[in-house]
Amino acid sequence: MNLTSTVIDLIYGHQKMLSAFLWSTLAMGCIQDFLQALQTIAAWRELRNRSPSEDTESPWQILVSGMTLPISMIIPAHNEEAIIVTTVQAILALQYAHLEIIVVNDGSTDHTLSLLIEAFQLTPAVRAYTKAVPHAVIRQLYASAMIPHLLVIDKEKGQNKADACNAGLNLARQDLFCIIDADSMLDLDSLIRATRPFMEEPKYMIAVGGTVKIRADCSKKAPPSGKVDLPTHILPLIQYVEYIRTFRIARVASSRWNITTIISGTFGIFNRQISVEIGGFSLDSIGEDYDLIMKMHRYMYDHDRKYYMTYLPEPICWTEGPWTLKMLSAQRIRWHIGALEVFCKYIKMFLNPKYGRIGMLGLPHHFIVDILGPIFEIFSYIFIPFLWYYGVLNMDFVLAYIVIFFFFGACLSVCALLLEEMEDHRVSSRQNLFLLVLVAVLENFGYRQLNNIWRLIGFVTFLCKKKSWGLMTRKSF
Amino acid sequence: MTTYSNILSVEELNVLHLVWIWGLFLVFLLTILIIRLIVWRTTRENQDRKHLKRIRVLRACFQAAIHSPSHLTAARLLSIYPNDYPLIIRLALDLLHVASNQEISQIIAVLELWNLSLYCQETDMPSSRGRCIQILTLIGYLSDPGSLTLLLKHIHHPDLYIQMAALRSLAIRHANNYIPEVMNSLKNRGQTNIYMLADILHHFGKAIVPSLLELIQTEPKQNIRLAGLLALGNMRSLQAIEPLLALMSDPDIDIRIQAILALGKIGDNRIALDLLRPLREDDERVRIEIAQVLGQLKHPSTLSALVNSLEDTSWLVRFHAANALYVFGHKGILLLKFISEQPTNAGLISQQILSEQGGGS
Repeated sequence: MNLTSTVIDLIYGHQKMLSAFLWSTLAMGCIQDFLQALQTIAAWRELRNRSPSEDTESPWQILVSGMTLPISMIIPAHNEEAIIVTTVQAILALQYAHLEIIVVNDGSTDHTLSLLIEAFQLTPAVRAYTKAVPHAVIRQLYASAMIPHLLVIDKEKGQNKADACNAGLNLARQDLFCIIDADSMLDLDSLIRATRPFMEEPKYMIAVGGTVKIRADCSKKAPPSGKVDLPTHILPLIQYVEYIRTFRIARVASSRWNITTIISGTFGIFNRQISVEIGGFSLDSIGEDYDLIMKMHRYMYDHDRKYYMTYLPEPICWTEGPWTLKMLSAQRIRWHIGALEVFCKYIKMFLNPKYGRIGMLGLPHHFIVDILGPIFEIFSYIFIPFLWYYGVLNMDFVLAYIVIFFFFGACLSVCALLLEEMEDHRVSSRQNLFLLVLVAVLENFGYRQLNNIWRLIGFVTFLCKKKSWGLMTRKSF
Repeated sequence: MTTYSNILSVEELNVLHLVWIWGLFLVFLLTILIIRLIVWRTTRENQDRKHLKRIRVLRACFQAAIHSPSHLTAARLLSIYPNDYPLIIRLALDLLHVASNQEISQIIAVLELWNLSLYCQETDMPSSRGRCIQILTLIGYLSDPGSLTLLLKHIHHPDLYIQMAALRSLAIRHANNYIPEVMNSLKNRGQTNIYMLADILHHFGKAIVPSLLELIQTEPKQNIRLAGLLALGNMRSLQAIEPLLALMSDPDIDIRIQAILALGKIGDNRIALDLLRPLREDDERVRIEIAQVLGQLKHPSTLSALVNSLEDTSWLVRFHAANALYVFGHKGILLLKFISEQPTNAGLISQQILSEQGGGS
């Protein structure tokens, strides 16, 4: 108690500083809320104008015309024996005519390679290529006589996923390539929908991102079709809502405002030539997807070249979400370290008018929402209840704080679900929708705070320059 | 426990009051949103349930009509209501996607007996883009003048994909008399889907070739010209060879590349020698395409040019030139084998291609 009183006395003795901190916290929350409100309005307008998912006829016409753009699908895989064969089979079943599939076995120590060899009757092959972008040594290439467009690269383990992506990039032969995680599955028409921007602007479009959603049943061999069930575990269920909020609001709005700073490495299509020109994926980066996009932006601005990047809400990729706190925390800490690395690497673009909207809007947005915001929030979790308990703050402040940091987030999440229902309406039942609404409200009371703690850990880890991947155990058979 | 007095001033407290009163409004808004969502979903589910029953009935009717050995008449068909038309449109398109030609005729006969065209003409086009596209696609299968008028009305639509649907339907109906209107509608188009448009223009057939030849030479918008070039290549129109050769000196590099690709698809190897000059262009993209096209054309006089390209500064040009030599056949493979023994870039790429293709055996 003496210690507590001492601390309070110390804080109370610096009222101006305390007041400045408290009001800065509220201001930071208001700024974040305001930005998110703007994003929600922008996303609503974009989705209402385009109604993309309602147009089922145009993708069909593209498919039957045979005018699909050739794509190289690159699947980096490290110790994915549980799921890799299923993933490749699902890709082979996609509605897409000109698809080259490249699986990169990135130094797996399990049976990833042997399972692929057995399932697709792979034999050693030779393929002409040049090492345009760096990666670890390739041990052997494999091809299948029964599936001529399938290639498997067996290589030494690189530093990270970027190394595997680069190997795939070097062996890819089409003008476009798509990176997809080994635990992910695309909707049957996702590729057709995702390549439409390249058909509209073949000269200038360099990157397109699609929506990523959490799969309910990871044991199924095909992506969910029609109405979808929800994950049964609480953590994937919360992530389901989180991904909807991110992709339906934040990404749509960023694309509308031309400030796309990230296209998810789980599902993105990129121009191969530009990717090679910029040196491929950065081997020193954990956030290789974020880094690639920022590198592209910098390159195109530095060379004064016109370009477009966009995000489309209607092509969907289903992925597996971590189902334990340990796995989820490792993932989120890694993501945040990656985000910080990239931000620091491209700091010269920050508030630099030379880099247009990316420098003046995209990066500042990222700084406020993903870097500065969580730090203020974390300290507020500790100080505000403490100060209220000792009467330094009254209930008005606490209520205002709860409104800004909790209620507004809940509103936003429900708005995201509303947009999702208007646009996609794939949740299987009213009961499931109500469950999602409940999760959307409750995630702001616990999960959001946990996420901020992980971000803080990521921040500290980044400062201490420790990098780790963490472990993701595959659930599927 | 020692308590401390509040550090906030009266003005600050007033601001905070406003904030959490606004918060009450947020709670109210949240409740409204949740109710709205649930009500919306409930309404939709009820509607879907009703529609599902009706779709089953309509589908059975279509199936019976498709397999009916006798002539269809309106009296023999199920009576339908105005609310049925949106379901019929969706169902008919799904069936048409997988139907054989004979089945398509039967489905269209049913739609005509159900006066689909009249419904489409008399009802306002839905605001939903997807449904609008469905209607325009479906009436492409009909033959009455009313639906033709509806299509012509939409070929200038500001939405790209609605315009595409209308144009495609005109092409399916072989509305060649309206090619000038079609070409006019493209003039005002800013953005387009080059590949879809090329496919649509291809569907008009040979009748559109003269218009396309004019378009590729005079149209200022690059995307439209590219679509025209792609369509000419897909149609393998021999008439297009001279205009395409003339485009080899177009200032726009993308036009030059597309012209080269179109010439390659046309496949007349008499023009192969005309394609040798661009092999010396500065831009490697042109050299890559030329190398590929020369491989497709397989004119013996181009062998030496391809061999020279094996020493190109760009790996991709060397790769495509080596591939082109390989697809030439016996002569090309022999050349590759000979060159592969040289310790040069040409030798290296020749070795790689021969290894990849299995040594030419």
